[in-house]
Amino acid sequence: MKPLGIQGGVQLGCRTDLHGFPYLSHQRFSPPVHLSKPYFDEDTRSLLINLSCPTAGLLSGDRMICNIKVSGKAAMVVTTPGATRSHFMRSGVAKVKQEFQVSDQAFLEFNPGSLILQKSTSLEQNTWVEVEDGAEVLFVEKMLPGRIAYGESFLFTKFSNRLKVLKDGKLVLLESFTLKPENESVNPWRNSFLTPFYGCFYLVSPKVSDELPCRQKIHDMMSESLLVGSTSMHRKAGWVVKILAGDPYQFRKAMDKIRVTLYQAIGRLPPSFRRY
Amino acid sequence: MLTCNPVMNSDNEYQLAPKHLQWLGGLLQTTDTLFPSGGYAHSYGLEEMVALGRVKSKEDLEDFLMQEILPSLGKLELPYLRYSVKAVETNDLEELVKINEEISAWKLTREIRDAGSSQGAQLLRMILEIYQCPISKKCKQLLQDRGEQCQQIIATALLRNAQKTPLASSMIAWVYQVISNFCSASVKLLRLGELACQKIIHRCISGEKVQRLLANSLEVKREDAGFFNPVLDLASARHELAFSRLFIS
Repeated sequence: MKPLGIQGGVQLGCRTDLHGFPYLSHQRFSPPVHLSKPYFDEDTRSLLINLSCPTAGLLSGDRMICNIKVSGKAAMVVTTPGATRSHFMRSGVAKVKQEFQVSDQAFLEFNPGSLILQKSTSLEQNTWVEVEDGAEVLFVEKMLPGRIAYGESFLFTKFSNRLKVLKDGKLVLLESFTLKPENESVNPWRNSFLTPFYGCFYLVSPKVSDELPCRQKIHDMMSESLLVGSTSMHRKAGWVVKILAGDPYQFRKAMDKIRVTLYQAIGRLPPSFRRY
Repeated sequence: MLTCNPVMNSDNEYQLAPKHLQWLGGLLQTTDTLFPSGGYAHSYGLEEMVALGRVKSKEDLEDFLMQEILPSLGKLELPYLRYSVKAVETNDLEELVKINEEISAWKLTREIRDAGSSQGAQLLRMILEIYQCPISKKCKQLLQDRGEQCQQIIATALLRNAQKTPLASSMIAWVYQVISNFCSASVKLLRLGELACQKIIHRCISGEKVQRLLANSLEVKREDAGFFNPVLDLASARHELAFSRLFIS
């Protein structure tokens, strides 16, 4: 039987108006994505967007395209109210395509909730981030190998992830992998902690091209149940900070702290995600 | 127990090296530890893996190589060596430069990226000194013009082309060099003896294992090439700020 699925997604354009306030110059969305009302955070002068999912996650046959452009001097933060679940699939695959373009002196933070790879799920994710000179991006990925609280771990079928980051049209980062718990592709992740929570920050900014002042502070966060490390991207485009944690509390705390630290490094204030 | 069967002709005299094995001498020379590849100065993240307590013994090292390094070679480095060899064989320098750019981008940590480019530059220098290789010369010039640094995989593809080494042998040599480099670093880091290292190398590159690795790697398409090893990435990233260290990476 051909799996049913929803083909939809979100297209957003963000720029500044005559008074320098960021606004959505273009918006279009369809299931499996729903868009919250944009919230302007006065303290940080950022536009906060919450993307929610009325189907409570990705199902077999779903095709989701996310296209976000930020220009002018606009600052936009895109998040989700909770985790993104890739659900049980009897057959088929869900596909997610994400494209981000940030130009001029604009700023985009894309920081969705954790991606949870549930039992028997198959997901393909392709992400393309294009950053013009002077623009800044903080792109965040968080990943769990299942519903840890239910004792579900590494029972998904397949997860393919491909991330390309370009700065001024030149490739600065290519991260690509296919994880299948049936083979050795998950060994390093699975062997890291009993319940390994994975997160990664990709920060592209000309302000930190030579040095990330908070690096040592980030590395000093390491503990028995937390591994953290930072390194520079190719062509000095920015920084990658990776985190592996053995428990959810440490993971969340570290992700929050590193986010604030990275914002400080680029001279910005981190807006609250307003999740109550 | 291994047995050796020398090649003999009908008159029971040793054959001279057959023509189809003329590349073998060059391959042996350039995989030998005497060949100045610069690999001895790198641990490729192993030093910090040891510091983090993730690799503590010869058993841990073998597990690390078997379970994490060999699979990553099969899914990432060997396919990229194959794409590079193909680009060299077809004289497609633009494609070779593009592959070089991708390699620099998927080497996620600075130390691993820099290790690849410094060893690549060194190898390219050696090729131009030892071989008559116009394509290597052109490639060097093109990379220089574009402000790019030659990655070791690209230089290796150029070298094996100059030697006329068959692809399978080039790939086995790559596996051997990677495993041997880790084992060489482990002599200092884990105080492993030479015999322990040789046993590990032998098991890693044993016939059946390496054949399976090569066969699987031949199926990897460019858009699917990649491997996920967050622990090694983290270790390599942390090594950059390590208080004391024996190796460059």
